[in-house]
Amino acid sequence: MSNMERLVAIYRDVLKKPDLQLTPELTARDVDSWDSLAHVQIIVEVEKKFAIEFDLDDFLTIRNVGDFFKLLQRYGVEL
Amino acid sequence: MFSDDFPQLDILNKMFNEKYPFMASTVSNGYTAFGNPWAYEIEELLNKMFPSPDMLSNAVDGYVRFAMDVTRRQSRFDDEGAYPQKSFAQVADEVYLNHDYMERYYLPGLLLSHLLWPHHFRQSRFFVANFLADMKIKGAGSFVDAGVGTGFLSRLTLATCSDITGIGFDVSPASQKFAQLQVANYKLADRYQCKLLDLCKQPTGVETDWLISAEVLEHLEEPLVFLQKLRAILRPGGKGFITAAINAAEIDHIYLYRNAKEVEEQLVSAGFIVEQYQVIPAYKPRKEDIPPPEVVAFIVN
Repeated sequence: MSNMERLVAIYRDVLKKPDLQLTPELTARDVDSWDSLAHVQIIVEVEKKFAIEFDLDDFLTIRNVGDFFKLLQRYGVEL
Repeated sequence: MFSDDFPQLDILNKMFNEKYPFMASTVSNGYTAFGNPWAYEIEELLNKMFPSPDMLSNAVDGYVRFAMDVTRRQSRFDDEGAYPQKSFAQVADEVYLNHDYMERYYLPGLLLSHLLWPHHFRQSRFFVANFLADMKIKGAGSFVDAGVGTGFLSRLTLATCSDITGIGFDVSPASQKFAQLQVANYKLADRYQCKLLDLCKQPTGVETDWLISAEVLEHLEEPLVFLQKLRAILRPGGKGFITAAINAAEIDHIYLYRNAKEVEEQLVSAGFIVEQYQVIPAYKPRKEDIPPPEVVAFIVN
């Protein structure tokens, strides 16, 4: 499974949307189940899956999926 | 949506939508749940404490960081079932004595949470309806707030009981300053004094008929010792409003209460008689075997 496939699986599982398609422009406004709890759950699951720990200030920079991908790349995750 | 009667709330709503889409429903959820009384209260708070767009924007950033931190810690707690081991001295250095952290994140975050987190707002309504109403009927002349935090309950008390005077205590200079600021911004400062004091270690030199201590117990290594000190402050026949957080992982929560009964047992052990209590979960359990965080409030005598 590629890193991108792992990410898609996390988003689909946390947001309970088995058919969700990830695009860089996708935001929480586009998915009804994507509230603040789900947002942090996605981040926590990614931290566990990729064995990284984000700085809390990084949380404030994530506006959409594309921002999160860029952040992951900064932490050394290849996408 | 809120622009006519609640311009500050409207700006807050737009800030969440634009900067933090995962919190876009925060304001509308609050309005749907609690309606105009909630909106008037938060509008007034935003006007008094964060009147300019820059101040509000900084408060929103602080709140979001605070809320994200709490949620991430709660997620770890759900897996591990325990708070990380910390001493009170460690937490004091990391949080209460850390001015930058307190002023940028903790205090604005906590203050906004009193209105934006439904369980916090419901608890403040319980306080108003069951404790403050009693104070007003009985013509309370003074009160003590032990562990003022942001000063939210001190301010509510001063605003509700027009002739009352109050003394607050806290270990954090930043809390002391913020509580005084809040009270001053509501033009209530002439009836209030907040003192820097560790109630577990230093004598207060006061007694009271009306005692408030909200969300302090879980911050302590030995909450029973603190409760015994509170009992000594409360005069016979006096009343206390004492709360605690249960299964709620936060940066400065040390003592883990797993249910409201554990808090009640400590209150009774310290010599209080429980008159009334209310337990409110933060949200519906996400999984059957994982309890959600709760807040519990006791009215004692």
